[in-house]
Amino acid sequence: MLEPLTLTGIPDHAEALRPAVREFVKTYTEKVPLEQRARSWMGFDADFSRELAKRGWVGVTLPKQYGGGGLDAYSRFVLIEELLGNSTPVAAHWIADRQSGPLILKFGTQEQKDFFLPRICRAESFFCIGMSEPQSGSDLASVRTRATRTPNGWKLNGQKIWTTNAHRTHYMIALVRTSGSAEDRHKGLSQVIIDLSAPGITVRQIGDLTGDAHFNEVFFEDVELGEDALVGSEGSGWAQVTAELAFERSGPERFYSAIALFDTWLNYLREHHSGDSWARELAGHIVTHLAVLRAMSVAVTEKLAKGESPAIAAALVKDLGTELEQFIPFAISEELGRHPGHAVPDGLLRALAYISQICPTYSLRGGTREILRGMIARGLGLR
Amino acid sequence: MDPILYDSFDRLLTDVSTPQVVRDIEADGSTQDLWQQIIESGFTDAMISEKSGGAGLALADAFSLFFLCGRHALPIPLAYAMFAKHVCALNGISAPDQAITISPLPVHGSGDIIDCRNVPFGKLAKWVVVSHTAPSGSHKDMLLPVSDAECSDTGVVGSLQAHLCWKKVPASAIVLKNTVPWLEIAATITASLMAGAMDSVLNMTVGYAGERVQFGRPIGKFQAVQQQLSVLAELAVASRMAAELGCQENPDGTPNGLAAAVAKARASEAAGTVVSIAHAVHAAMGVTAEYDLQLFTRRLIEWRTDFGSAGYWNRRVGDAVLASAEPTTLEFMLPTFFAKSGYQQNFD
Ligand SMILES: Cc1cc2nc3c(=O)[nH]c(=O)nc-3n(C[C@H](O)[C@H](O)[C@H](O)COP(=O)(O)OP(=O)(O)OC[C@H]3O[C@@H](n4cnc5c(N)ncnc54)[C@H](O)[C@@H]3O)c2cc1C
Repeated sequence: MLEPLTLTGIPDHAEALRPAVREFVKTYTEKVPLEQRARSWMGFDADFSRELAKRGWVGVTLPKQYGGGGLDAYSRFVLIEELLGNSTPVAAHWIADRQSGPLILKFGTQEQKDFFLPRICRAESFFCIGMSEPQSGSDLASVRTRATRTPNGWKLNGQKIWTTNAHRTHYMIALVRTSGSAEDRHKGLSQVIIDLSAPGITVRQIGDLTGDAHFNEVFFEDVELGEDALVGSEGSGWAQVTAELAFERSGPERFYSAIALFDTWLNYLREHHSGDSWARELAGHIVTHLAVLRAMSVAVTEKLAKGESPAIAAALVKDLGTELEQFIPFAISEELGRHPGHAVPDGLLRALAYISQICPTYSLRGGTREILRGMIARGLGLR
Repeated sequence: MDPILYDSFDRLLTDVSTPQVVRDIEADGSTQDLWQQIIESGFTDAMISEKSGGAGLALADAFSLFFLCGRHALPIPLAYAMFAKHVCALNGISAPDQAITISPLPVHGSGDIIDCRNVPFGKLAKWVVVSHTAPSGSHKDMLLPVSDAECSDTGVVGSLQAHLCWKKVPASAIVLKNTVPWLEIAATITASLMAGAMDSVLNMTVGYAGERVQFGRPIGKFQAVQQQLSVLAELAVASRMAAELGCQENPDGTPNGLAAAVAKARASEAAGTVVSIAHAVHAAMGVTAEYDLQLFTRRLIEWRTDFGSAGYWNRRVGDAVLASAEPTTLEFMLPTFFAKSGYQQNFD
């Protein structure tokens, strides 16, 4: 059976971080149009990331000796809750901060830590995730991109796809096959760090339905990697990726993605007709859900802070959270559409259109709904 | 909550609130033995201060006990009675060691008549907490004896609810001067009962899916069934978290009415889906009187509207959000719901 999630408070030392972060974030949000903030954590702004880094807010959980904050998972929760709750563009450093840095810290060699971690903390090195391939989406263990041994390292051939920000990040941590064949599944997979400026790499952007281009195809043709490209041990790629996904699934990015839209709609109601009975109930519905998700996410953070890898609890938060994120644009368009003749500001409508179009991705990125539910079923002992 | 207390209460209810006992009480309403066993255990006084002879549990601690009452489908209003006895003690009144329940708001505009419909556990209670507003507009919270009420059946099979009606405030009424937000607290206690019942429903349904074989394998091996059970698990976990949140007091120790609203809204909304998935997976067996699932799903159906449905409480939260001047939901939520659990109001 599932281990219950119990209500947990955020310790004072972590809360102490909040006022300064909020103050900084507010100076930013005042200047930036809603449409841009509606991108939430898909918004990419390297300057913004570097401003955060200057204040010590990139790599807060990494040890001080590498330039990190030496803080715990609760502190990171408070930091990113303020960043995401105010819809700032964190994409540039997001992956490095959330998973690549912690991965290198946990599995990397001393040289890898010395090289990468300070660069991550200074927001100089941005990372992307190379897991999916054209023939390997949900069935990640079937990846075919292959690194073969050479006298002084590895040679990489194959292709990744849907790699968010491969065109504007510096490194990819890829899941690749280092031995056996696709039939060997979880065995023979490893994680490698790839410098995206290396010869033999072609990055091709893929446009999305909103007109943005964030994800990419990445081709590897006889790319030479050094001995030191391997992260962790050879053949442990699957176990490492699984541990990484617990970090990826339970955070506030799984329920605040549409918050800029929701907040703008609330402000519109407040300024205009303050909402009819149905609108008020709807506003409450969304807030009651958010409050519970937030409590669940903090409870998962407690497990992460204790060093556990709560993969199933994280899957549960993500599935429920993305459902709410997708409900928000649906509900708001329904509400606005009930009042023909009301002058709704363009900015609100543009944010609504954007989020309505992009929100199907909320439950795809990081593992689809069906895959998460399969994991929960395993946690229930059904498979 | 102290795990020793939790485990001992869980064991007690496993022994005394068996499915057979639940069925017997639903059939003939005789709760004497069960009350006696619970009174002897001391749990009726769990929330009374230690100074006044109780265990001094705050609402937040008592949450786990409420949850267990729901998990065992306890057929007496112990959860409501624990809280009512605590409020009586605050008022310097030593409450009768009898079944006390809490009434939903009486029907509006009945003049002097106090007309309480669908009172949970109304069939077995001896006393009922009623928040009554007289035609004059004066408001009183009172403990009313059921013996002075006209009691009528709701006609729902197995239900422990009753309609209770007093022609006027009886002389035997005990007025509670120091009052509390009864509706909110009854709502969050009910949400906790619901979370407990959902936990049992989840366990029973997963268990059944592992045993029932069709097409040569346990039905739990079919992906369509697994996906449904995962949703059920998500809703049970979320409802439990919501109920626990709803039982958190404000930093000054007063109940947090808006957190209670979250609890009841979330649990009531989830209950519908939980019940329908559980019955879908059990199929025909689940709707028989003999099988225990119905002991829980009938309760969930009743509880989801007791003390306000999801829509009622969502509306309350929505009103508060729209009345607030906070520019973001985050800034509204943290002080409103999480002041007790770490969030500090240390901003300007
Ligand atoms: C915006 C966005 C950003 C992304 N960024 C990255 C990134 O940076 N790096 C990266 O590696 N990947 C990234 N992805 C890819 C993402 O991880 C995949 O889209 C996801 O894992 C699903 O794979 P797929 O799209 O190939 O769908 P498929 O696996 O083909 O699935 C199609 C449908 O079939 C269902 N399905 C598949 N298998 C099963 C099964 N066993 N049981 C039941 N149903 C099943 C799925 O749930 C889905 O509904 C991104 C995706 C999006 C949308």
